[in-house]
Amino acid sequence: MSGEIQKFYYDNKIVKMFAYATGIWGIVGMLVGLLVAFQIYFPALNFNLEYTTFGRTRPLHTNAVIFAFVGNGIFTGVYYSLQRLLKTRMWSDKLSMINFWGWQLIIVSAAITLLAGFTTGKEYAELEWPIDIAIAGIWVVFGWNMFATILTRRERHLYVAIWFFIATFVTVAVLHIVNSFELPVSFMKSYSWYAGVQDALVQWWYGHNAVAFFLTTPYLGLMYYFLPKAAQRPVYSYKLSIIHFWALIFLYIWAGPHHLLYTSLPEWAQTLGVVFSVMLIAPSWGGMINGLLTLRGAWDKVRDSAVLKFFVVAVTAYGMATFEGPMLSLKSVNAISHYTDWTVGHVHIGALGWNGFLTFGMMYWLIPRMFNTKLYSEKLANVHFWIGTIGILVYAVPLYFAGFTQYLMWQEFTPDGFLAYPNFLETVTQIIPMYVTRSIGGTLYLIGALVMFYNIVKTIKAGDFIANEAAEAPALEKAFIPKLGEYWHRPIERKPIQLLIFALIVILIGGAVEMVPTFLIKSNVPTIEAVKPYTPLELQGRDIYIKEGCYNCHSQMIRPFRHEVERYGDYSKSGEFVYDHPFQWGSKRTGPDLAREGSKKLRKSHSWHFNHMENPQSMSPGSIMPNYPWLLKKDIDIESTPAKIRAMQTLGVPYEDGYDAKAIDELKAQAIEIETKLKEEGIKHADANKEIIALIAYLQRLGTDVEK
Amino acid sequence: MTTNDEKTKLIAGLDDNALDHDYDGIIELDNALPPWWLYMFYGTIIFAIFYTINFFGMGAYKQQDELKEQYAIAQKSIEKYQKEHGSSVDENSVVLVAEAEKLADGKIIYEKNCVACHAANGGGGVGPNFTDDYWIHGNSINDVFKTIKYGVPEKGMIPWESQLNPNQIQNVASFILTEFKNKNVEGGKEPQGDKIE
Repeated sequence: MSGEIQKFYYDNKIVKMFAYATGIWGIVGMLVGLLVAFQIYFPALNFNLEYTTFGRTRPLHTNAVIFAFVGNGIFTGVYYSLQRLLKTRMWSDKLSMINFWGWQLIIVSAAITLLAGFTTGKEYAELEWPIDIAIAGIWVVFGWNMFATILTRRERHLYVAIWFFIATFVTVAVLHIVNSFELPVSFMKSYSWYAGVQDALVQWWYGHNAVAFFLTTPYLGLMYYFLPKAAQRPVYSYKLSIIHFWALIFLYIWAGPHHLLYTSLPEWAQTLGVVFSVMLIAPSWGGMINGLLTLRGAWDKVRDSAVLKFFVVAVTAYGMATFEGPMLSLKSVNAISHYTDWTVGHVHIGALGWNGFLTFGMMYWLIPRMFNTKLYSEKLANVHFWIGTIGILVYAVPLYFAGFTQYLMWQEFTPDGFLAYPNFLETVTQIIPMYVTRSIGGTLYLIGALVMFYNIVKTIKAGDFIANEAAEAPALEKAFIPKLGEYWHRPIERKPIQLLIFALIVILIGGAVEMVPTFLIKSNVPTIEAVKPYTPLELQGRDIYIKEGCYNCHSQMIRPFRHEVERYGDYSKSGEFVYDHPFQWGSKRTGPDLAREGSKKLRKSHSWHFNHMENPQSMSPGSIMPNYPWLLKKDIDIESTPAKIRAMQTLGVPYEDGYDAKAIDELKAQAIEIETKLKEEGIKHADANKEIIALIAYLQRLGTDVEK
Repeated sequence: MTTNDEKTKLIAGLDDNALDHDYDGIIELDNALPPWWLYMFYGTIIFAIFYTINFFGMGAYKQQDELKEQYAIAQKSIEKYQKEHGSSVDENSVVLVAEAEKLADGKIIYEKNCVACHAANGGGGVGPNFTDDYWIHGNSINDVFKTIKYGVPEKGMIPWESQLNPNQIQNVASFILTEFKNKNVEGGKEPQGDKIE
């Protein structure tokens, strides 16, 4: 028995808007990616400008690709598929528009503020607090619109794609809110609520699950809609969908600590990161299998259809990356890959292969349908496919070589016990040819995207846009009698709120088990008496270090390996970071570790740092670090010091009461001291008011506490 | 062309276990979990339990022990090497070498590591001038060796002992004392330290 047939219209306009945004931001994100790829071996491409220097452009690239390109890709696919899977229009066109314009506004403000140097210093969560609030708001609008649509649906059961959308919504909300806990100091400046080890744990719980719940689960949802649609084949296994969905979202959330192996994160937490990553192989592959086996009986179509070719490579890249990920989570493998370009290669298999190609396939499928026409050129789509595929390989393979080569050089000793390559720079210049090759791969990939852009524009011009697509379906009957002997999971698929709550519970477990003890049990972060808060000048210097994005190339975390201890000094202890809001351990060493830059072993003179920041090649011939001449010109924001000290006090940093009143005087005194020293060393134009002075103070402090 | 025309096409013989699910034309099959997939999943779970109990963190293993072990192994192989090749020089046994080959090695080391502060012509900059007669920490080969090896951290001269091996320090110290002697280069840094003829 079914209800009366109702006529309604799908909203294609919102889908079109998001699709355009995806295309435009995708090309912008890739262009910035290309810029940073060139900058890494040709640092003069920063044009001696702060706004275009790697430490700021690299976060712009990652944020643009993740949140602008993939973010809009998610909304495109969700807004298209959700309506059709639920047989209803989006609940509110107004909310759809707020979602769209809000998100684009966030992207624009992100681009401006990142280049202007406003950053929290936490990877993939760099945006400052006002934008964080806006993100939370717009995300809620999206969820609200999605849920209201679900609740007014004409389809009794929720399809697997929607389970993934729901899990995405709830988990991203939790991740974003917890990791963005920060104390505003002023408009556009805040300090992370957490410090040191705890900040690292929260950040990588977030960072890893941004990959899981922003780059993976929503895209799995899209795959579950667009792949069977394009292939016109049934989804291989409903049971597999169920098991891999729940297993994936439960296990993923635990895996964050695999970004912190061999660091001073408590070892039990590292262990959880390892084992949960390994257990993720099967649930991740569940998605790949369900995708590839859906193509059974349709492989002949793959030969002819560019869309399906894109999907096949996307799903295969997903399978490769999700096998490689768990392997990289094994401590012995991670010892090699961490801090090297191996990781960069790995994430680009995911970004270029999985996210990029799935998006491209989706666009080629969706645009002609919304414009009631055929794709302008199937041939050009195939050209795009091949250029893109070759681009991915030319991008990734050299980086695997680079990562391996650099690690081998880092860890090599001479027979009489000395580092074979004591100068870090030697290990960088060795892999520059790989960087050059990588940028060629990136160029190919971008050319492919531009070919698509042209093809899509031509298609749109030839077509006739269907803004409101007519559809009809019977209304849902109030009374519903479940079929006898239905599968156990069926009732959950009828109850979206329950599904949401179950998903929430499932994803909270892992995070809670890892975080609560790390925060509450003191023995997890043993105190070191000698470690004291930063002086006001050092604190300002640290903020400059964060602002310039130094963490993008320099780690501050020495792992307990002989070659690291010989190169950088004693391995890092968790107690050394207790006043670091935020932590600055970094994840990549394009330059050497700086955790003990001021220590006896590594200490350079003030003038060395002064000259080095102005022109790194003057002190370190052949260096690929860009120049930072503006640090010599810009004044330290001295007036902000008392507020910063008070914020730190609020966060538990033990400055004495009333210290904020003395802070400026102490800052000036220390700055004069450094200026005097610099002049003694022959830097006649040294000026105590300039940012460089604060940065020197900070760098010279690093690693010195434990020597006292 | 609308999406409604694009329903899943079932193939007899391949899709006989189709379920009655139909979402916008997408049908699902009732295939069982692939056994190899399931066993792989079980395998990783067993691995996880085994690993957690026996190895890292929750067992007796500590990552710091790995470091100790690395040092113990290194110590042994270094001792073996020294037995075969003689012990390395130190600040007491170092001598001023004059062989062209060793001085050439010293020159390479100098150019790679020292020019930033002491200039290619030895005239100094951040660091002191090598071409005049003034020396802050002495100008015997033993003194120079010692200065390089242990550094003068408070003045920004880092200890090089972890970056250069003793023979390399001997070579570069000899190079400095030979190459720059009495050069008094133009534009060099003003004299520092004591005059030593």
